[in-house]
Amino acid sequence: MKIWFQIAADTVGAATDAASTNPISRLLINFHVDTERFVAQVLAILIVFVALWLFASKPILKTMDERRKKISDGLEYAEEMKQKLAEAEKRQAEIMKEAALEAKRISEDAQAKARELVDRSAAETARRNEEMVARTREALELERKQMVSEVREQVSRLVAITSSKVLQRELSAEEKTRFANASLKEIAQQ
Amino acid sequence: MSSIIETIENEIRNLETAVRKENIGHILSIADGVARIDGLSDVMYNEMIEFPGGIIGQALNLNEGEVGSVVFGDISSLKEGDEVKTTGRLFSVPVGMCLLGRVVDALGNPIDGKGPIEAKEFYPVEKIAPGIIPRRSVNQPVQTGIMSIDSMIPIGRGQRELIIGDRATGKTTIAIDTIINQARINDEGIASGDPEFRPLYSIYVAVGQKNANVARTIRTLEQADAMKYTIIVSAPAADNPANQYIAPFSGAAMGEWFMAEGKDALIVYDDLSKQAVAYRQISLILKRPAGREAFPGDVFYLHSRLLERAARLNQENGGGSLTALPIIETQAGDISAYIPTNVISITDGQIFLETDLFNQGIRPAIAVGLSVSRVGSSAQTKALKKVAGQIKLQLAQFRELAAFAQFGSDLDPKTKAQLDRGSRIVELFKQPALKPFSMEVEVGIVWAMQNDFFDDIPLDQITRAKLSLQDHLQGRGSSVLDSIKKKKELTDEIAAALRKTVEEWKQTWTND
Amino acid sequence: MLKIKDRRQRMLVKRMVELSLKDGIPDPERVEAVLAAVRNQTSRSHRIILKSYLGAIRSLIRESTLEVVYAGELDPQAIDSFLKSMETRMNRNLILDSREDSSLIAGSRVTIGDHVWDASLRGLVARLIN
Repeated sequence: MKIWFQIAADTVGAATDAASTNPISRLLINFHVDTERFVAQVLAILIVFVALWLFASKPILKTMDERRKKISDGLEYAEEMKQKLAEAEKRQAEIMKEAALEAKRISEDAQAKARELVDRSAAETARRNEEMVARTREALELERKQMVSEVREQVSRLVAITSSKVLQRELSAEEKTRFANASLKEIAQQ
Repeated sequence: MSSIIETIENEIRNLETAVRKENIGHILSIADGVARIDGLSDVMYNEMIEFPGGIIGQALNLNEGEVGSVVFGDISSLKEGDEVKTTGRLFSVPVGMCLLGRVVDALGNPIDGKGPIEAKEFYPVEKIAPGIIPRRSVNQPVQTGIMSIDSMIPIGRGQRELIIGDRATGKTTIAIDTIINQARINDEGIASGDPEFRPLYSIYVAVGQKNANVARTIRTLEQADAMKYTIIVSAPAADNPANQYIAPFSGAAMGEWFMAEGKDALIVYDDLSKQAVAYRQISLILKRPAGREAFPGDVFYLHSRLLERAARLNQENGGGSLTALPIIETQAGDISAYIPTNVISITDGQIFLETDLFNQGIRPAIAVGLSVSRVGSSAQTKALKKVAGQIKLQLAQFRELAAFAQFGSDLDPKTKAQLDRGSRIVELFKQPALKPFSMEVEVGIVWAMQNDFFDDIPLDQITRAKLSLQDHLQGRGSSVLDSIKKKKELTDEIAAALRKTVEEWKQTWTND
Repeated sequence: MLKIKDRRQRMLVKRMVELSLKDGIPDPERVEAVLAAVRNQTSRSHRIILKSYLGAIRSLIRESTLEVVYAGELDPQAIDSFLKSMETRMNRNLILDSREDSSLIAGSRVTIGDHVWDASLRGLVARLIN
């Protein structure tokens, strides 16, 4: 290090000597710029600069780069999410539309079924009425048949009883004897 | 009026004037519906005997010097010394389609006030059952509409399936549900115009029941519009024992007419225990030797000859069938008593109803472990066979593991799954009275259970879920149900459509 | 007929009935003789045996009696000839019991045992009513 200062001082000394007539040299002399000190300061600044570059600037830059990257990633992500949100909203809208259509279909189905039900119950009522009429007709017919059958029975009975009474009185003894003989013959032949 | 006179004149013209030979006897004694008669030397066993006043009897005891006869009807007008005649005929009842919708007594006389029955044919009440050759195996189902029966204890046309249990366990309800479901199927089948559809006509024989119960049954059938396919033969508790004894045979004769005509009929005997008691009474009065529990020695033959008349005939003999559902009432759940064991050995299976299950709220209270159908899955539609094949086994496993249910937290996942599935099946099979399911709905619900759709539904909501699924199937899934009904089997296509429908329902289902 | 459980007693009654018949019909004299023979029996079952004998004889008489009821008058020869034809038909002797009954209106009614041939107008009318 000392050698380098010596070299730098010698260089500056040589330059000062050569530049004593130089305006820049005259400037340096007037403003009391000590060449050796100046070089040493420049060197020191250089050293500080290098140290800062190595130990401060680089990590800071690295950190800054990372931060920049994170921010850009974050922005990208936000963009992506925005897109996805848009897609999801679109899908939701589609689903809502489908659901609405489905609800409409269900409601139409229900209405159709309700109409069918009404028609069916009207048909059922008509059928029941018809059945009731038919049943009433049947019941009347049955009653008539029953009445005819009862009357037939009563009349048959009356006719039979009357006939027996009439025959008892009207048949002569001869006829009765003839019947009795004929019946015995018939039984014997059985 | 002129037609009446003509009728009588014709009657007189056609009168048989030939001498008639009769075989007569005189009543020696009469009591408790049984008459001892002197004479009647030409009478045959089971021949119809005519008493004064148009009362009919049947010769049951042909002893030396006297004949023992049961008297059907009111015996209060008969007395010692009255003349009785043989008729030369077996006791017969009117049969035919004209009996559908009517209520008749044990002799076939109408008691519903709807006028006389104009029957063209009469069948004898005692008839020899079809032999071996005319029969055919049972393979057509009788849909009872009760899910547990149709899945696990299927009944076929031509089968005899006994319904046995204590009083008030739901025996009659099962029979009535079956009749109502068959009427619904008949209506649908006839409306569809399918030429291959075979309606199933029903005959309900009420033996020894209270008149109020019979009236309630009739009203229930009328409300369900099932009376038009049903004949009711009523021999209530107030009837004399002879009527209660003969009523099931009269019903069987009416059923045999359908079978002989190539049609299908179902006959319910409710119940045969009371018929056995009535027969015991008659036999004791006829001084026949008493056997076990004072029943006569031929009480087995009483039921065997009745139940053997239910059969399925082959095509050469018309292809008709008569399915019998005899009902027996046990005392304190004792199925090893005399009459129950007799009838169990005669029938092709039994449905055993337990009071404990009934009281626990499991209705129908069918004890699956003790119930069986010897015809089995031959009498099930392919669709139901496919979905319900494993259910009986699952329930058996559940019953075996049920004892461990109290240690719910200590069970391995497989056992727990079996318990959960079993308890869900039990819950699923609960069904209110008079609400039969159609076959296709049964298939849909059981399929959903077997494919785990009920697994995440809490136990107390299974019933609600079942009804919700039924509504959904009958509404949005009606096309799937129609396919099942038409094809009667679960093809891959139908199964896929059913899965889609059930998944749709599941998406809308929420537990409470 | 009263049922006798003891086989020997049953055989006794059967023998008594056989001894009471003449030409297949219970004969009053023979019946009297049989009764006289068993009269002095002092066994406990004497009443049962007699009741059973009575039932058997009653039944035999009923089986052997040809009851002819007619309306009007019948020629006795016609009745005799009818009796003979029925005996030939039944292949045994018959006791004739004939009487007039105007309630038959006309015709006749013949009974042998529990077989009845009704050829009367009353029977015809009754069938018509039924």
